[in-house]
Amino acid sequence: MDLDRIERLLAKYWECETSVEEERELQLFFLSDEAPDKWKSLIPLFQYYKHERDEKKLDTMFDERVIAQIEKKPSIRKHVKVRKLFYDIARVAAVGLILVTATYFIRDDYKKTTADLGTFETPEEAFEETKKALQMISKNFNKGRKEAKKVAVFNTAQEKIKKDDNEL
Amino acid sequence: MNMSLEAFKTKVLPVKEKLYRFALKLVKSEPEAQDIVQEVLIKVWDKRNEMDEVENMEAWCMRVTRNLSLDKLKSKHASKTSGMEEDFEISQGEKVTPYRSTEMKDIMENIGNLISSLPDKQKQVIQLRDVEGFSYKEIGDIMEIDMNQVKVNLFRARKAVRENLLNINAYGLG
Repeated sequence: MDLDRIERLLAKYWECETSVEEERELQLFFLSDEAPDKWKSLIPLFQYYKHERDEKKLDTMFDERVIAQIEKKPSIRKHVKVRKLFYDIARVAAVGLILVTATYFIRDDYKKTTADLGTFETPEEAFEETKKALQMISKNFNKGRKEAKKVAVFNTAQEKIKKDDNEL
Repeated sequence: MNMSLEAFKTKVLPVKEKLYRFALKLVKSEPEAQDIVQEVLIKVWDKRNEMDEVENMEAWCMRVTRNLSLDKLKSKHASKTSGMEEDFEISQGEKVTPYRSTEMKDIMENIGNLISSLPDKQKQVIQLRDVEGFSYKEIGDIMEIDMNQVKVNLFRARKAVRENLLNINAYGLG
């Protein structure tokens, strides 16, 4: 060990001019049992700093406690799950609503057409009425399709969310 | 990039002992220091999406640790006013080094008492530098003071330590 260098480093140390690396070098020197007598009084100082670093550790269960607390937290993924569930329910509800409305109208029209059936005099008249009834059904179906389109918007939004989440 | 739990375990958790030592120096209570470290680590997890922007995660954690510790102390109405009688203990653990004679132990205890009797800033600076090995810039960031202040406080602290050692050397432990 270059004692001159240590001497220089020590002088710099007391002036607070040493770098972190140089201070580490000093610590290693004073902890290595190589210090000559004139510097023996400095050994307890560096021993003290080492002792401060080595003693007083957190208990072994600490990590587990922190991890457990982290895992308890609602994760981003959970939020996504809730959102997805909401959209799924909304989609099913929308489809259900369309079906119920459609059946209601179709049944209503069907009832009307069957009730009126006996009143037609000519096949042409009957044909016209049937056509009207069919058109009404088709109109209602189109209404349903419009609703279904809205559902499709939900779907695209959901896909987008899924994509965004994957990118995170 | 998002921090995964794995990254948290390998990059953030290992800082815990440094945080704990610092918190313990400030609040002087093991359970409280533990709570503070736990709070800091959870904070990192909560802010994991923003941690990439933090230049020095370790120094950031140390700063939060310091602020939380000081808050705790404030809320306790600084019931402990004298730092003179800090219960500094050198445990005579199993790892007895060749130096760990009774005299060595006494001198180390004396150094510990002296350091804990220093003004707060000096005490913290010497802990951050000579125990933890932080750079002046990092210490400035942690303590929210400028680098000149860091140096002035460290200079005074080391001077006090040195004079104390010279006294012990000249007159023995009083």
